[in-house]
Amino acid sequence: MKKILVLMIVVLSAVVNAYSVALLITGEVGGNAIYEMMVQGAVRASKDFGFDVKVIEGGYNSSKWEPLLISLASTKSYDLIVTFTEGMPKSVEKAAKMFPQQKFALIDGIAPNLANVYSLGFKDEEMAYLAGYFAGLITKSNLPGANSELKIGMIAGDIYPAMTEKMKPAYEKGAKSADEKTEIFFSVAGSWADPNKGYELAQLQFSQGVDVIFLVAGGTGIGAIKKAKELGRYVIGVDSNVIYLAPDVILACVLKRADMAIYEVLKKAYLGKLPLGHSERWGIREGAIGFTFDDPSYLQNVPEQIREKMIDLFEKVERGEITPFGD
Amino acid sequence: MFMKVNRRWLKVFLFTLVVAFICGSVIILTTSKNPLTAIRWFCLGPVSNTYFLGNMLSGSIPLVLTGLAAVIAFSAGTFNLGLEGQLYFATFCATIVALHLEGLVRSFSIPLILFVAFIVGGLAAAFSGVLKILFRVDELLSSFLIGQALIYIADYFLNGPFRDPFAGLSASKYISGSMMFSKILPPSDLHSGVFVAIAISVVVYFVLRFSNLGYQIKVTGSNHDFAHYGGIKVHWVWLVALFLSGGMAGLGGTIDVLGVHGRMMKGFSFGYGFNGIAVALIARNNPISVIPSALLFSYLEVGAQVSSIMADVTPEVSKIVQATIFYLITAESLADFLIGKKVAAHGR
Amino acid sequence: MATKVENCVEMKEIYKTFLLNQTKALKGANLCVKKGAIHTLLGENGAGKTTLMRILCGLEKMDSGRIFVNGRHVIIRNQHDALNHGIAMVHQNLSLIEDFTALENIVLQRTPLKFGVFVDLDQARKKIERLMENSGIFVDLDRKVAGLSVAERQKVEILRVLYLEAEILIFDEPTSYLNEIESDQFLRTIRKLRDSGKTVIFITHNAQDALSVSDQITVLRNGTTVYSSEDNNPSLAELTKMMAGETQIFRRQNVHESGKNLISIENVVLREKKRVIGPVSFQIREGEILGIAGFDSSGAVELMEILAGTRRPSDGKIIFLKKDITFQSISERRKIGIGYIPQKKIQVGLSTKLSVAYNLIVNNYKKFSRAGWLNHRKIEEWSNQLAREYEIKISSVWQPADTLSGGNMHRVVIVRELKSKPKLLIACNPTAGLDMKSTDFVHRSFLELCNQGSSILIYSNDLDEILKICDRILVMSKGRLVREFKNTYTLTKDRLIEAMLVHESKPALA
Repeated sequence: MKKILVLMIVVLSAVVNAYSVALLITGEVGGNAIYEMMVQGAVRASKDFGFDVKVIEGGYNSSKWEPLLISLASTKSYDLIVTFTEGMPKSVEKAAKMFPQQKFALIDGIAPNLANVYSLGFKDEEMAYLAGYFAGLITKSNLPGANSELKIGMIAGDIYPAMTEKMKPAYEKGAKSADEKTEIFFSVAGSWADPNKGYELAQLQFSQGVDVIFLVAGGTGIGAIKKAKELGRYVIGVDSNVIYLAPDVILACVLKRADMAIYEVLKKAYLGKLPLGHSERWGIREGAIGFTFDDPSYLQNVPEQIREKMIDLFEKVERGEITPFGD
Repeated sequence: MFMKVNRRWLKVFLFTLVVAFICGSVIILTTSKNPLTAIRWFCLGPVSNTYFLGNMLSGSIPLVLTGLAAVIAFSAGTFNLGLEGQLYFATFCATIVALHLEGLVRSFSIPLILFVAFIVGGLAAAFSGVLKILFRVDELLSSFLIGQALIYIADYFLNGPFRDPFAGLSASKYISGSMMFSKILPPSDLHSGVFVAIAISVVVYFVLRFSNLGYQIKVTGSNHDFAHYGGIKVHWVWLVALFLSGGMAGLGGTIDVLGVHGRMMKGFSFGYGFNGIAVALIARNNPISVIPSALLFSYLEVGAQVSSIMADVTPEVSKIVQATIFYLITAESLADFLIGKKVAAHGR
Repeated sequence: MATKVENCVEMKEIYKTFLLNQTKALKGANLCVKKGAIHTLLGENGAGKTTLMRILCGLEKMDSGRIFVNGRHVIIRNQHDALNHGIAMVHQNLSLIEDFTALENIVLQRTPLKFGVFVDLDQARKKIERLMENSGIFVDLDRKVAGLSVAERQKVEILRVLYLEAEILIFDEPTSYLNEIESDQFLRTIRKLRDSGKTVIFITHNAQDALSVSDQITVLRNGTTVYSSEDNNPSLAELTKMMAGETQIFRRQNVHESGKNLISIENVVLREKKRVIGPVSFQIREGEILGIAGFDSSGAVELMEILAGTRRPSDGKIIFLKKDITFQSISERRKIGIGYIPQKKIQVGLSTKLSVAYNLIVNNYKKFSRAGWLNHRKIEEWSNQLAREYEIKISSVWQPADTLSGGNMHRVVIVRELKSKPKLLIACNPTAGLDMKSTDFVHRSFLELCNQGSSILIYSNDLDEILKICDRILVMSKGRLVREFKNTYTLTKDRLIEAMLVHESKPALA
């Protein structure tokens, strides 16, 4: 993080009156894989094209984000203000209406369509679908950690519309497409940073016969990984490749290529090609969602026929032959 | 007499202000690559445009009220360290009431919502008073502990039954715009609640200075043995002072929600309570001086925010600057309290 | 520096104006103290005695003037400087920590350490025992201060400054809170101090005490030195005249014989951890002045507190005008006409941070209020009138009470209680700390109050006072009333003291 800041400062002082972009992080960068990727992507873009990027951390007090966003807009010093997550659409809408001359981009969330706002969402359901299918294959397999019951789990850090309406159903659908009889257990931790809670919930699910859990829970997931390790069961990671944390337990991760996404957005913005007034959702086809196919641990721990089935599914989704909700 | 004391206070206040800003600048100087820009934004940011100016003013509103809350408790010789929790819980309750008031006219709904906040905050604080009177529990501890518990209780409900499922974060639904304070300086946050805050400080000032209750509070606060000896019902005075104190805190949070946020958000008021105590300390327990000292706090907050947006001042550095300034000012106030207590504004 | 008799302290042309109320406390005061002498600083309340001494101790800054210690010009900025020159004040309000032993209190300010960490009380004890030997002042070092009498506490205070190696000891009105016997004892103590080579400066308004003990006397009046003696001793009358500028002698000729019963105390008992006070029973008639004579340890102060309502009796009944008021709060008692001048006038009878006016109205502020708001103009008028009438020296009624001199603070308390025209006034040591003129004034006011039909209950360490104005005297000892004297004219101080002592198996002196 320090390095990033230093870079930022160098960039900042080198270029005067250049194109400039502000990233309002809803949280803090350090320790958050997605934000680390976002900042990396943004810095890469800024270096490749020679514009300014300023990172502003909003901190964990969510009530401070909106005032900060509006303050940023009010300075009129940035050509584009980028902010993130499903917590911000209303704030972006408010700021965009207050400052119609200011351009905004919301990434990982969809804001209402306004002439000065571009939103980029991710097809989270594709991630969940991949994870569900993979989990379904694992629980059916005869891996040492898999039991005879066809039960899989999912732990969410919190509930929000995208979670309940997209990720959870897609996960279920993916699992059912592996085997119709698969049962799915779903738990909500109520926090993204409570490993103890994750540990308890994992214990609960494993005790009911679950052998693989899809973790969409941030720091809370650390506890679940610990429990899985203790019991010799499996988990699936999300967003970034974290297999190295526990190669025996984390069989695979579904990836959100946030660095690539923000790079593309900033590139388009710099070149004046950002489709303002529109929102887009990127998924496998756009290269924004991936899977840990190349990870050595994955190659080692996951049987070949499962790996082949995953590639097959991935390509079908990429070609549009399969969509998680069948439409 | 009063004028003399006040002029003296003003002198001290301005002096520390200058010293404080110099210290802040030195810290920025040692950490920033481009210190002049950073310092300029830190010092002048809040008045650089009407947006920041408005935010600075609106940010001071809750601090004025928590400052008054601390002033009232201090005046009676009690310590209300639970402002943070009283404010949060009262605001939560008031927000829930507001969400059920859809369709009422503003002139009726706002007073009602504020009344609820006042009562809830007051009762939460008065409970510590009851413990103090009945069981001799130190109100300093009990108010703090109860306050912390209230924060968790409010958060539980905010995360559970009263959470807006579409918010993406822990927050209630939005209160209908017709029940909000009107904006004064758009696009800034400044809203008409500022007049309520000013009116309340004036009322508190007059009550403390000229009313029977104010007299009883001051006598009790300055020497409760004397108050008891003189026939003042000391326990009652403590209870009333704590109630009013908690009530003020509740108003502070609720005015903020009705003016700025429009909904109850997790952690929206973090720091209001403790900063209120600091505000009261700087204001030397004078309800009118609470206004400039709350403005100072808000100025620092906005200054830090602006310089983190406009220059390379990280939030951490701006927090350190704020803390330094705060210590300087309160340390000065404390020293002044101790050394010059004869001249302190207790005269009347 | 080979003068024959060395002056250890000289203060020349000291000026001091208190900024806040622009009171000129000192207007060119001079003081010259011989080494190894008892020097009395005599003056009325507010004459500037205490201020002058506070300047010497570094507790107050002077506007101008010069101070010489042992012939050398010195600058005293704070207490520490003063102590370096061997000057220390023995405080009159006895700021000892109740829960600490005498020893711990003595070493508090300069704790001896072993290896720089551990408190080395043994070493300190040896040093203090040597000090006691040299000075002839003995206390039981291991007793807790809470269990010590006022006189014993004073000794602890003296040992404390001796322990700090003070050579010049200043006493501010030390006899105010002592009874006759304790006062005598105290005067003996300071003679011992002098004999052990220390210099003593003794602030008092009591010319009698001054004459009986001093080697030198300086009289202050209105901030200037009006007299300083070398060898020739002036007469009491001369001294009194110099202090006041005029003399007033007063003798009361008024006895209340009959009257309805105002208050009955029936078998009142107070049980505390270590002792029991009572059962006590007596009545007070309307228009009567009843005195209670006793040591502070006799329980008289507690009895007064029970009657005033700041303390609850464990048992017994208090009937006031045929109504049982045993369980009434002090505010209810104040409403039905009971006034109270407490033992601790400054700590309980006043709020020193509040203004004089606010202190004056605490028992009747509702008189100045309409619809819950106080009328400050009326309060100011009334307070000004009171201050004028009772000669409380102030520049504004809004100045904080702690800017007044000790005597003026006492006056505020007394005036307030008198002005509420109580049916029964309970007074603990009402004139302690007041000069003759003020004492005289208080006594006159008491009499006037009684002539209007009110009654007064007085507990006083000053037996002269009790003999002078009381119609009836009860002697209290060890928690019981032991004697009653009806006719004050046939009574002498000796008989009273005898009665007080008979029942004290272990008297407070010795």
